[in-house]
Amino acid sequence: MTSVHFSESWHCHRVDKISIQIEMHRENQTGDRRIFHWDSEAYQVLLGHLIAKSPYFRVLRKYEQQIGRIAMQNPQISKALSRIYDGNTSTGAKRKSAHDTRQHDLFVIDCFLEFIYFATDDVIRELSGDKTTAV
Amino acid sequence: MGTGAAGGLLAYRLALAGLRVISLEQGDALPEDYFTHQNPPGNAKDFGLRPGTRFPINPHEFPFQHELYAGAAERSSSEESQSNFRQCQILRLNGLLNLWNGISLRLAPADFQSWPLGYADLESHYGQVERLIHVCGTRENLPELPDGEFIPPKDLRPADLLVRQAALKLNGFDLKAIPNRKAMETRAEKPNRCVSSGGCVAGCPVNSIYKFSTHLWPGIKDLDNYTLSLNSKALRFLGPDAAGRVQGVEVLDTQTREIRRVQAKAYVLAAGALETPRILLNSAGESCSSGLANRSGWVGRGLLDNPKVLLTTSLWKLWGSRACYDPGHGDHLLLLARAKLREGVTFRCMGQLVHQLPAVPLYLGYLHKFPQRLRPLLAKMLYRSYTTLAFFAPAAPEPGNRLVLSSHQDHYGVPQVDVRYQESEQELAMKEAMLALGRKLLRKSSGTLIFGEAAHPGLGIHYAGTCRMSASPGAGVVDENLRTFDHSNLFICDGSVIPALPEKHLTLTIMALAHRLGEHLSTAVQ
Repeated sequence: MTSVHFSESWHCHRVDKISIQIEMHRENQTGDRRIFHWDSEAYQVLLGHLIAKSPYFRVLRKYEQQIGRIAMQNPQISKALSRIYDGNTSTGAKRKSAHDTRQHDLFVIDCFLEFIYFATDDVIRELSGDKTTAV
Repeated sequence: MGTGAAGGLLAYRLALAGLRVISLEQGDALPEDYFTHQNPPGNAKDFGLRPGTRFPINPHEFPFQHELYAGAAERSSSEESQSNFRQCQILRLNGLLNLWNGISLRLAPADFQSWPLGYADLESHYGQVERLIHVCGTRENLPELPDGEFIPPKDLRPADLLVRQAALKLNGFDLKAIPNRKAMETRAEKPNRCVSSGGCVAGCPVNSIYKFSTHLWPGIKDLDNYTLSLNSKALRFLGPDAAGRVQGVEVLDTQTREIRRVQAKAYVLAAGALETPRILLNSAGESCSSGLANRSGWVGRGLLDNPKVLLTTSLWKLWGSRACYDPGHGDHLLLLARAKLREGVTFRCMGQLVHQLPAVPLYLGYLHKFPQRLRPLLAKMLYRSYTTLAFFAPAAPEPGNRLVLSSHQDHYGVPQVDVRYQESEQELAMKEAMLALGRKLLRKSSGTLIFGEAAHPGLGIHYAGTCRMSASPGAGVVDENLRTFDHSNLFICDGSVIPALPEKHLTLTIMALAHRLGEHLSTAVQ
């Protein structure tokens, strides 16, 4: 069984200043809990959460699955997601450096989502003068 | 060896002349639907994103992240070299022509000063190549850019007209703005006419831009005397014998990993300005310890690429424009100019104006400094006014810019080359001067914020000079007929033989050289 917990200990850069922490636990039949590092389910949950917090959510939600597939094929995006997912366990100077890395990772994801927003048919129709859909 | 600009055209010429020809191509052919369904240009698939796209987007480098460009384990040069010279290479049938922009310019008589042949030697070949590949353009009667045999170009668009107007008003740069000259089908009655899918460097879905596989190969593929051998990577030459003749070439089948030997009366290396010297250096043997055809020591030396700058802006006179016009193929306007260095010295530079409706929102690369809430509004203003100007300067020959065999190997175990490349002070100054010129021109054209930067060395993708042509054996690798000085049956025909790189795009000249070599070989070998 898989469970997902969000907490607010991380500050996201430009993703609505919402803090995210995802820890994913899988309980086996004996009741052991262990953190696992990556699977597609965790990945979709994390990405879905980031999309939900994006200012472009209204449009992006329609493309969530496609965004997930593209993200998985892109080494930079999948690495950034992986690092966000893995969380922050360091302390002191290392913690500060990890914080900077995390800020950058969130910035990268933000750029990625914004790029897709402006490349969607809905937005291009609006930019090109067809007013059938609002930006 | 090779099926790019020179290899394809030469094979066509020789096969039609009745010679037995085999083309060795290390890559495979792209599927026929590659640019229509699998990886079409624009944002038709995955919002225009590629697996290699990096964020935040650098709009000027985005085109070079195309998946067809070879990765570290495949390309001719080592990964370590990429920091000082970024090599773009496509290991497929047609080579770099798969993503070619199509610009086809003749060199002027003055550009041949350090060549062992002149414009008159190539003039008729230029014309014949232009007829084969269908170059669009207009006759302008400019001494610095000879006219060719053209089909009509596409119309200029509002952005092109704004910049052309500004070019006329800008004094002191000898600026001329003319319709671009591209190997592109524009005639309405032709099935492969341009369909305005945006910039050609993302690939052409209708085969409007010239490629060997779509334009010439169909005319020879069924001939008994022609063989196209795909997935056949030339590893090294065998020999030479006592008379200095090459004995064969070792070829790796990249699918079965079997090595075979190909023997012929004559061999032509047309693998590109980095792969060709790499094969020669890898062919070192007892009688040629520094590499084949390298008695002069010039193999791999003198690598050239045009210094290049890019400037992007939004032309405010196009804001709010809802005018309906053919968005075209990206760069309809060619700019000829004379820029000034600080010492008052001038140099010629060649520019092209790229303007397209940005289905791929590359403009975001410039909007990060603006608050998020403003970006949709800014995007709206930018959409029809987004314009990029690229300028190329002549490359300054530097023998120190060279290729040497690397300790690194590609994934077939073949040694790569390390690229030692440093831009000269003069090249850096030329880049500065071109940026200054570009800013002035764009401002005069109603440019707003202008984002200009010098391109990384290698991203001009006009590689030349590494097996230079010369009049004497001590000063180069091949003679004026592209025959190596050291081996009577070994020829080289690609950018590597070009000894000096003016500001003009070199592909048409490579093709004209291939056409001329075809004429020479079809009589010499027979």
